Amino acid sequence: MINILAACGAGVNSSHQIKTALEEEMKKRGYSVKVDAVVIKDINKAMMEQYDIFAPISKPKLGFDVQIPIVEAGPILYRIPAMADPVFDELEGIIKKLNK
Amino acid sequence: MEALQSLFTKELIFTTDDTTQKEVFTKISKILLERGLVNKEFTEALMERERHYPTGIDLSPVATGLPNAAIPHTEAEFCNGKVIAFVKLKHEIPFKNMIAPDQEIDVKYLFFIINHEKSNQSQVLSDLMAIMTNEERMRALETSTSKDEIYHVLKKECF
Repeated sequence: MINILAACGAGVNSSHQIKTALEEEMKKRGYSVKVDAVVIKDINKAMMEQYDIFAPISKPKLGFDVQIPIVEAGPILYRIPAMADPVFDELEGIIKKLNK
Repeated sequence: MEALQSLFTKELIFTTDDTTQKEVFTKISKILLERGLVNKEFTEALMERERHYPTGIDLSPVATGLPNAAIPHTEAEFCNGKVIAFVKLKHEIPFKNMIAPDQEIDVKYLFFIINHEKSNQSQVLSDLMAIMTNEERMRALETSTSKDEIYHVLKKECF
């Protein structure tokens, strides 16, 4: 099981949309992932350490270095394959490398 | 989609000649406040959020030559209702790109999302995305000038 942290800026809950899209697509591709959705300002270093991959809407300034792979997931929000597929492919590549 | 489209009302469709974010945010917030749809802190919260988490949506991936949009919004606690105010700007205004905040894009269409419900917010965003990524609908918005025409384009079931 790969644990992913999705994050956005609060207000319209885009991280939930990222969560749903990542879970659906990775399941389709045969991977077991669990995605938690949070708002960027609630993230701290200890929280980040619980996850394998960080999937924010865009690369945020967090005030600490992120030690896990980052996939910028914003393009998924367009809900058009030309935008979303490169994100899914990148994520799949990382999952393969993690080899968990 | 139908649920989203019910959030558009003729009274909250505008064409303005504002030239800065602050101008148009202030103008629309004032109208929303007068209608009791937001509270007094809304304008500041809206601008503050736009600074930290910008909302410009680059529509060039949808089709070339399509004007860009933005979806200004803030937390539910500043809102008293659930509506979308739409603005067609006469002059494009620069916004930072939501998914790449170091990038600046010129924006022509603003969808102000006012939503007092803490849950169910993501459905509004995904339905709005469906509207913005529909090339035919966005082209129709370009050629619409009157409030009535714009309202019709936003409300039309399919393109």
